[in-house]
Order: sequence, then C-alpha cells, then structure tokens
Amino acid sequence: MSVSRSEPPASGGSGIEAPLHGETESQWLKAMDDLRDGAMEWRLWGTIAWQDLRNQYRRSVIGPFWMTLSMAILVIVLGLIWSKLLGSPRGQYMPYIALGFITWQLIQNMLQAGCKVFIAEREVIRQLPGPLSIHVFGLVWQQLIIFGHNIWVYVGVAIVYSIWPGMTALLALPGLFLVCINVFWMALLLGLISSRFRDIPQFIQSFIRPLFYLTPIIWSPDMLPGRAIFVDINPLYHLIEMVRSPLLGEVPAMQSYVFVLAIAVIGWAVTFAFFVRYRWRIAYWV
Amino acid sequence: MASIHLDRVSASFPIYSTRARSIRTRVMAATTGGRIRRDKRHSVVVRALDNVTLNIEHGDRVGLVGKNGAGKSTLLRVMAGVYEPSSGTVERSGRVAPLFSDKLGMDGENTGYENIIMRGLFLGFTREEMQDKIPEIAEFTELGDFLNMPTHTYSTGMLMRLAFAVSTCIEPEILLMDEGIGAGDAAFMKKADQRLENLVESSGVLVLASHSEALLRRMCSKAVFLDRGQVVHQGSLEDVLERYNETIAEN
Repeated sequence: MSVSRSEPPASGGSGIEAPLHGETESQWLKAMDDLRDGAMEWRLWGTIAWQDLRNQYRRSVIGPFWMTLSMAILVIVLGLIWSKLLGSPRGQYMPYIALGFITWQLIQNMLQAGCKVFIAEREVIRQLPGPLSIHVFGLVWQQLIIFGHNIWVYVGVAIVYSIWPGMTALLALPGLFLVCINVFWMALLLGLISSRFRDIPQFIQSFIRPLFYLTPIIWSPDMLPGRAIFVDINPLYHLIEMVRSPLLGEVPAMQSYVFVLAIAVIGWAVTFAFFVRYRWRIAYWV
Repeated sequence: MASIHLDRVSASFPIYSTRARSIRTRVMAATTGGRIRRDKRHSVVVRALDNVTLNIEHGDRVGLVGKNGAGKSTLLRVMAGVYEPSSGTVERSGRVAPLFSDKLGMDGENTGYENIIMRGLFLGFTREEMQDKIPEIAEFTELGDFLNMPTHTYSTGMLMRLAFAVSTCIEPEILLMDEGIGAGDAAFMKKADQRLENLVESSGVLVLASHSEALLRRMCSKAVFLDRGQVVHQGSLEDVLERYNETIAEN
C-alpha cells in the first residue's frame, strides 16, 4: 500500500527533502522571463492570433469583415432607436455609441476570452514548453486586430455626420495603449485563476451584461442628475473614455487618466504576485 | 552536449474535485497510479513522481517502462519543461523535441503546412527556417495535397506522421516520445524506425516511454522502471525488462 496520510512535507523516502517549488526566489525571475520571452515571441503569437481569427471565418466570402458588418448593424440599429428614446441629436449620439460599442467590445472580449486564455490552449501548453504569456500577448493582439476592423464603423459614422475630431484624436493612440496594458493584466489574472477555479468564467459571463448597462455606453454620464458614484469608480468607464473622448474631439478628464494609471499599477502588482506564485502550476491545472 | 539531470524531482497533482474524498477512497486500494496523499490543507494530492533522480547523458537511449499511471508521461513532460516539478531540480541542455500522444498540440483548423510552421515556431525556429525545411518534412510525411487541408480532416495516423516528421526534421538533441508512433501503418513504421535510428545515432538523447518490448529493444540501450511515481530500477535495458517482467508475473 502506498497511501499515506503523513503530515506534510511528505518526504519521498530518502530523508533529504528537495526545496519546495513555488517558494523559491527564482520564481520571481522565471515570471519575469516568461513575460519577457513571451513578448519576444511576437512572430509566434502574431501568427497564432491571425490564424485563429482567420479560422473563424474560413470559407466565408467576406471573412473577417463580418466583424465590421455586424458592428455596423449593431451601431445603426441601436443608435437610431436609442437616440430617439433618449432624445439626443443623431449627429452627436451615433459617433458616441459607435465608439462606446467598439471599445466595449475590446474590453468585453478580453475579459471573456481572458478567462479561457490558458484553458483553451491546454493541448499546446501540455505538449510544448514555452512562455505562457505568449497566449495573453496573442489574445491582446487578436483583439487589436478586431478593433482595427471595427473602428471603420466609427469612420463611416464620422463621415456621414461630418465629424472632425481634430488633432485631439491622436490622443486615442496612447489611450488605446493604456487600455491594452490594463486588459493584459486582467486577462492574465483571470486566465490564471480560471484554470484553477472553473467557476470564474461563468461568474464573469454573468456580470458582463449588467456591467454593460452600468457603464456609460448607450447613455452618457451627463444624462444623470448629478454625478453617480458607480460612474466615477467604474474602471471600465474610464478605460472607454481613453479612446472615446479623443475621437470625439475632447481630451479625456484628468480624473480618468489618474484612474486608469492607478488600476494599471495596482492591477499589475496583484497579477504579477499571482503569476510569480502560481505560474508553474498552470500546466498542471489546465 | 545534450543531457538531462533530475535531482530529487517530485511532481504532484492536486485534485480539487469536491468528490475528491470519494475518489480517494476508491483509489486507496489501487496499486496502479501515483501515490495519493493529503496535503496540509487536507485536499488530495496525487504524487505522480516521487523523488526521482536520474542522470541522462549524451548518447543515452533510455526506455521508460511501468504500468499505466506509473508516471511515465509525467516524467516525459517534466523532462520537456512542460511541467515544473513541485520539488527538486531539472537541468537540461540541448534542443528538445517532444512527441507526445493526444492531439500533439496542433490546431485542427489549420492546414498541415500551417501546423508545420506553428510547431516549428513553438520549438524555437523562425518562419524562414521552417519554410526551408518544409520540402523535406512534406516529403517524409507522404501526405501530398493533404498538407493543404485542415488537420482535423486527418486520421490519427496522418497526424502522427506530420508531428513525427516535424519533430525529427528539426534535428533535435533531445527527443522525448510517448508510446512511440503507434498509429502509423506498417510502411510508415518502417520508415520512421529507420529515421529514429539515424537520429539516435547522430543526436544526443532519446527517451521513449513504451509498453512495446520490441520497440524498446530496437531503440533503447538503457531503461528506467517506474512504479507509482518512483524509480524502482534503472540500468541496462535487459536488466530492467527482466525485473519489470518479474514484477508483472508476481502480481
């Protein structure tokens, strides 16, 4: 019989116990290496992201432009209905809702796919050695490609309603970068926790829709009587503002920048701590 | 020089299922599989590898024998760097080509050619390097136009051909194989055997987990006998096989 209930650390028999994994200093370095090596493998994750996306539209005539088309349909239908319901002039409301939807889509996909970022790649993770972060880099890149397809809907709306945001629009680029930094840690953290606790993806899934309505996307904060706390402390609102405001020709509020930078720092600190501690376990968990 | 050194390596799988307790009681009586313990948080832990110390040097061709669940596949994955051990250290030098069973880490939606490139990228090659190797790999697989089709249309044997061709064409210094190339047809097996022999002669290290004595005798000179995660015996292939067969006969 080989089943023992001895108190840990259970020695393997030889008497000298090898150092336990996950508690050594080198875990810190390994986590750093994983992220750095992962970033260096851009050819690999670039390829994965493209192929993955293309495979979803294989044998379809217009291919990835279905993304653009379905975003356009969503924006037109909902934009027309809600501008009427809310009594907002279309020229203002249509670009607002278009940018809101497009940016929200990026964040939502990162949260949902982030939960599955390691689980979905279990075959690869269990077969081939390599940095785990490549899967997260690939996911972010894939979402940027999707964003690149969707943003044309905004361009179309801007042309139809003759909107010219001016040079302020360039602020959307650093804005998008800040969004990516934040969704990266979110996906990494969610992916890690989800590979251990399989309820997390369901949990996130059930909060996505309420969050969508709670976040100013189809409505705007100035429609509220006074400021609402659930807007001010909603990180998703500030993330969307990073991209939406500049493209509407407004500089995002300083408060939004402070908030986004703060969650980037705190989020990364927490995520990195988790990653140092549990990175090596992911291959076992998936 | 290729080598793999394992020093007091243990790998344990925590079982998180809420039914872990009942699973535990069921497995209690089993002699197959790793050792099952309770850790400090009273969850159930399967020790798939228990204090394994092995030194595999350049030129070694090592067979892994043991019953189902003895830890052979886990050991291969630890050697490949897929699993980091829960305790102990692994030192490895040389380029690794893993050739494990299951889906072989391929995306079924991708074509054969795309999977060749992807696998190469994962194994540390650039796209250009892999493109240069494609003719050789394609020829070896004998898959012809099938390489333009998504790999989910492939049979198990065809997938194996593809994975085998990629893993051996990149001239690995360490080749890790699980259960050989069981799904290939006779003609391919012969070709693959030939290729493996050449590879084993030129490259550094082969570790092969198999239940086929014939295959082990052809490919390996040394062997390790694993039982419930522990190394029971290691040495020359003949010695180990003899010991292994005795153990089987005793049960």
